[in-house]
Amino acid sequence: MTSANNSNSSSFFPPRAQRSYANVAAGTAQTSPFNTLAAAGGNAGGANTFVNTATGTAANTSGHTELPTQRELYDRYTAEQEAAQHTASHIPSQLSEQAARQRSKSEAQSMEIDGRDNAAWKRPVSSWSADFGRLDGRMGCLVHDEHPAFFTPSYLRSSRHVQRLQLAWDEHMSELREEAQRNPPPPPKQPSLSTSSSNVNLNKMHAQHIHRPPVQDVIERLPPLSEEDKTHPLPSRWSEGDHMNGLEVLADGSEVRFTGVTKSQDEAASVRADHHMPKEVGLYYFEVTVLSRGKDGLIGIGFSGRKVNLNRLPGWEADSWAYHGDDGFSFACTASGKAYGPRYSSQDVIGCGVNFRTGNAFFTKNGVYLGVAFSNIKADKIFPSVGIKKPGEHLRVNFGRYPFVFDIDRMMREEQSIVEREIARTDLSNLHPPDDEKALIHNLIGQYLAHEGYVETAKAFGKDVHEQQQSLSNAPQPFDSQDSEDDIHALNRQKIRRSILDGDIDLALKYINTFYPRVLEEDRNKDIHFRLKCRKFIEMMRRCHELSAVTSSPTTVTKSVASLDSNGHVDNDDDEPADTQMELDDQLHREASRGLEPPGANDDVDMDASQELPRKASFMKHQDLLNQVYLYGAELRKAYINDHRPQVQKMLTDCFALMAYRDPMESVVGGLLDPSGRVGIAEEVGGAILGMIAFFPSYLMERKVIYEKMDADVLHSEPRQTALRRVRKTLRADRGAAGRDGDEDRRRGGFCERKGGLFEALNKSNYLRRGMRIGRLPMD
Amino acid sequence: MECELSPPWASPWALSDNPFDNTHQRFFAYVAGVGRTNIAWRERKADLKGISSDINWVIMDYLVSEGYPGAAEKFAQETNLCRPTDIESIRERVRIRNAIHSGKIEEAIGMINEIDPEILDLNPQLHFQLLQLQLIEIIRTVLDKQSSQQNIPAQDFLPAIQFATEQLSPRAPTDPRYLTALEETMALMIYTPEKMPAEFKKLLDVKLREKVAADTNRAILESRGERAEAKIRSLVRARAWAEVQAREAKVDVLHMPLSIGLDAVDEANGDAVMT
Repeated sequence: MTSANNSNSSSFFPPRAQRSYANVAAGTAQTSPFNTLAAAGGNAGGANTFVNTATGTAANTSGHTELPTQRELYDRYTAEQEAAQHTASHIPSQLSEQAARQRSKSEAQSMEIDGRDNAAWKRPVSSWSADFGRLDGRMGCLVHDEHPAFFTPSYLRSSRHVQRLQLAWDEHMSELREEAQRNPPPPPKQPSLSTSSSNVNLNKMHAQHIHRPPVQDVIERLPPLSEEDKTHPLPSRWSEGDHMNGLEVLADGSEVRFTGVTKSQDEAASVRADHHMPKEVGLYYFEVTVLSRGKDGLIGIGFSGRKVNLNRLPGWEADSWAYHGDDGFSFACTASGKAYGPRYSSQDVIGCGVNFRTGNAFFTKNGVYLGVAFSNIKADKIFPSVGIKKPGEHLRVNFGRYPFVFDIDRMMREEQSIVEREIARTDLSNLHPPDDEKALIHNLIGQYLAHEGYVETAKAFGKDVHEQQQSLSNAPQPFDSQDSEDDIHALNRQKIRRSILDGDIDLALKYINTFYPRVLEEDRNKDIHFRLKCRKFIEMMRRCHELSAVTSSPTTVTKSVASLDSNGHVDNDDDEPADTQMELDDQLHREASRGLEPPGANDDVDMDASQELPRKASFMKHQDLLNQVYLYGAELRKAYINDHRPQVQKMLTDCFALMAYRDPMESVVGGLLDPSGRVGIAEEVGGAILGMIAFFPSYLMERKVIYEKMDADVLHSEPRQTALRRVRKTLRADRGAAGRDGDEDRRRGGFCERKGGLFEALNKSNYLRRGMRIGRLPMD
Repeated sequence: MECELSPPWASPWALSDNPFDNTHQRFFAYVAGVGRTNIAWRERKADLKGISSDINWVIMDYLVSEGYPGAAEKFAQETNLCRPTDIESIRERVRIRNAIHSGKIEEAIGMINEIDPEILDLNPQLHFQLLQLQLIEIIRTVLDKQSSQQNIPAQDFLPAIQFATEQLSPRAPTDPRYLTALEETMALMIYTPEKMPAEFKKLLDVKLREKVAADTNRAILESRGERAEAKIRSLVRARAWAEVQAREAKVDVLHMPLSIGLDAVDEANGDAVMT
């Protein structure tokens, strides 16, 4: 078994890596004949394939690159381990993966030697590295050291923390890319004489690694990210600054070697990773390969706090924990260890994992779980750490850039299923008493529907729920729709939403200015107003485009032209308050004369708004329409010419770019025309209105003026007088409340609409209820 | 527009099945924060961008799987979401649910078998529960008729005993739980409603109907290869779990009790802290 493996010079990859590497191999198939071969081998099964693939890939690999002796040794050794642990069925794919990895590894080495990057060969590590490679090439590797390619350890693939880190990394990279485009990269730096000579001295054995001298690092290091505390990146390498003198960090921070001399018995040299293990991942794991133990080596692998002295092995100091190779003992913050596991030596792969949920730590040796070593680890920030103290000791770490020997993925899955089971067992009765699960969910849904203005759904949902409950009781009661009061705002918002979704921005603006005057003039809503205006421009362009494209459907054209013509000017908004006032007066008047007749299904304001529109049935020529668009665009530009914020100017530029294209749909800015853009604006407008309702008192004051100007007519009849009295009473109450509640800022920060729509019990917000009562008074 | 109701997995922020993810946090943060104006909330909102459509999906998922066809249809219209593939199949489940709720178990069993006879064969426990419920309903009608103090004549229970002998007793030996359940149910005939011990009385509670109806719904969904549980349930549970965890860990940032966004927050506090 052993000799067979040796003769193939094969090595292993653990089975859990199969999927990822199969993908990776497939992804690189077009660039690498080896990987194509490897992928093919991976797909086939059986012992014959295994042998063929093994020899094939091994021959090809060795034909192209000279593997370093140590790596070969390591690979052989680990292959033996693998053969002992895994069945033959795994091996073909492992081999293919190994081939892929060997390629990428050796390529990475050669890349380092000649100092050039190669995107194609970096790809096998993960898909993002293609990006990285491109970026690198363009930027002359300016930030290479501080921006090692992002990697996701296999067991953290579903971790949201890591996803977030990756997103942040991507953003950062694209920023850098933009930066690089603006400022052409400086010529590549020549390493200074002194550093290169020191490299030669220090790295005779490992000439393939370029040791980056610390000085250079300081220059290249970006200012520390201010949000570092928030983002908690994964450890990615050994820290260049955080290690003892006798210890040397090699191979882009993945290896450490002892080069110093120890004076006393106790003295050693330790190193910590660049970042602490982020608690957010739940379970953190890394592996260290002992490349060489040296003579009478003494190696400690574990983790330690940031402030722990590095001149001793981890585990001996307070706030540090480690598993030592010479005796197999585990040391928890003390110099006297406990018998824990076997000893380890050259070519052993030692894994170290910390479970943040249980507070336990464990170690693995060559993929075998050794049991819990420490429990109750309470330290806040712990860094992966290793310590060595004898010449010749040489370790390599894997923070997840490569597949692990130990099946940590399975442990992660088990851990997740433990939590899943725990979650499934959770008792819900205390979450929101007295609601049980069903009532709680119904409340949530009802609130959401009402809040988002899905009035019809809310009604239908209420009806369905009611039916369901009625089916249980013996005495059925008719469904009592509780619409009216609470739904008014929701209905209004829904109208606004609907018109935006239909692309009729003018109608939406009209509604907004009628129902919620001055919402859009609020400082914090200026942006939304701007986006609405831009959207209007876009919609005009859309119609223009439709007009030129679909001449055979005059109905849509007429409609669109009519509504376009109705409200084509920006400054129209300024007239709105007056209109609104009139409309409200009008409305109140009509309502009053109608007496206590319940409000009809069709809203009066709605009718008014549409009747006021001049209905142009005439067919407008395409050119005229374009002129309209142009005029509107010019006004838009004029209105925002002084707004120098880049996003505003960019939006304007993009919008106007639409005019430049003969077929804007197909242009680069064509995405703007897509109706899906309406959804976001609709949501934002809804949010703005809710925000307005939130600090209702001040908003109310404005409306009060409107009420006080009400026609004397209203005062005559008895019901009207009562109505007015009610208005005044509520207003007074509100003013009083405003005085009591203190400054407006606090109210702003305070909470706002909490409405349940259907679920009256949820209606606890006094502001809102007061507001609604007043808001809907004219409709009574 | 009809299409498969599939989760919007596309964005990296999308809802996933990973318990370590914080979808429930974002979900509740959203629900709690809707309409808020303060700055902290607005900053959070960036993190919640795009979750609205996810929530829509969660809600649609609930409406479909728990059987609210009218709401599902309207919701599809109002949100421009895809229509659930088969409103009729939802209505089917609703009819079964209503039948069970109103105690028409035989009818319900018939409808279930019409959908797929295998459902009850593959879920013997559910089948037993339904039959047990049917027996309870037969007994209930007798009990309800004789509401006065006098003893119920034994022959009134004959249909119930006959049903138990024919339908339930052959199944009882297969599982000790069945046996206990059958014994408990039969005991209903011994007591008058007033003197009945609480453990038997709970068999007459309509809650049992609800539970069996829910189980039936789940079994039908499973038989169709759909998710048996609505996503929102796991979200709510994850939220409750998170709260329990936070309490145990005594995380002091959290105000107690934690808001889940259904109540107005005390204005003096200003901002509800979400987990």
